Amino acid sequence: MTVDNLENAEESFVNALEAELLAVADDDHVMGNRLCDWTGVAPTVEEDVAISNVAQDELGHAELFYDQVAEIREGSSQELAYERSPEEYRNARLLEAPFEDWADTVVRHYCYDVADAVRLRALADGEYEPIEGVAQKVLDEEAYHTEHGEVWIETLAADVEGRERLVAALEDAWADALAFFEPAGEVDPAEAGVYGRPLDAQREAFVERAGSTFESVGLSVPDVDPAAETGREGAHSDDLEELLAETREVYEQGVDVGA
Amino acid sequence: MLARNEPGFDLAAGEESFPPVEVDGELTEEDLWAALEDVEDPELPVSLVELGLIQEVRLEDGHVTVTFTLTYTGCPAKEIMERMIERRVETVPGVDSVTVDLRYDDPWTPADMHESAREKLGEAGFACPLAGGGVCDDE
Repeated sequence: MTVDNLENAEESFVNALEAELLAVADDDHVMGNRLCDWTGVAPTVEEDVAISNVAQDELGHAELFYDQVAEIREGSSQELAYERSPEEYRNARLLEAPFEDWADTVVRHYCYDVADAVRLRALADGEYEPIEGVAQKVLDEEAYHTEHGEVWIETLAADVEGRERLVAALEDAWADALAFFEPAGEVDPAEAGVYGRPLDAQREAFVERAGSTFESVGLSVPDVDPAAETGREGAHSDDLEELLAETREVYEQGVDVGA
Repeated sequence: MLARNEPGFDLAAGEESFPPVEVDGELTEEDLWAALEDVEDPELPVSLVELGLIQEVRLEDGHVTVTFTLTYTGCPAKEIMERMIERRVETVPGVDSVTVDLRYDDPWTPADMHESAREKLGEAGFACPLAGGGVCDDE
């Protein structure tokens, strides 16, 4: 079954689709903003440019998916990005803490890129036809991000201190990374038809892909359960609240001159 | 507080006006394509038509729908480009209304660029994919 127009779609499908698209957009919004902190202070000059480009991509993806949500719930991407309280956000907790360590950034961003790619593939393979082209376009762009992450994992793993930091970052992040694949709405989005692949199978695909990258440099992923609080249910850390307050600061002064 | 899209916020402030269009006889989609050649990419000295970003122009009873795409989704000039397309089409005699539809179903690739775009970008100092002599010429 395919859905080409939401006007004829069942309400449960529309609700599940809206919740998942909002989770995608919130993930990109939070990740993009966090990555911006590295502009100008990354480990190399070339990386300053690279990571800023990646941040721009993630922010662009956030806008794109906020636009999709805005079409469903009659709002604007501005309101969705800046005018919601933290508990209304559906981003994964994996993305919330500030980046204070390069290895931690590489690990969490890489886990995010792989998880996001698995999810976007499932979204493109779901029942909502109009999203297929959008998801595919974003997937094509994300391929560069995962490649970027793999190069850095290799680079850090080849250095004694870098390797120690990678291990510590992986220990800290893995349970949150596993918790990425939880429903953002009331119903199971795969059962509703939003995704063409169940969330558990998406998680397995993530573990296989990300795990094999870490294993290729001799690191094993921690044997832990997904974190109990995922972020998808709206349970967030204070870090998110602080981040969102910062992103809203200029917007709230009314000097938004976007385009 | 001056908020976006509220009275006093002029999105078009500072935008240059387009040259007038003359339509010979009844308005056609070809006239609209020709008019759109005046819409340049905000960052490159090439038109959106030459770049292959305008994918479809449909004219139905005075209503025009322009379908376009972006080279990449994070393009910061998205809204500027939508607005420029809209403004350009509105200047064409016989046009009542315009819808600009941004789509990604048929994703842009460098192969969508017109030869003239490659030449102009080369002259402007851009290393252009698929320009003459490259390994991609067979594509």
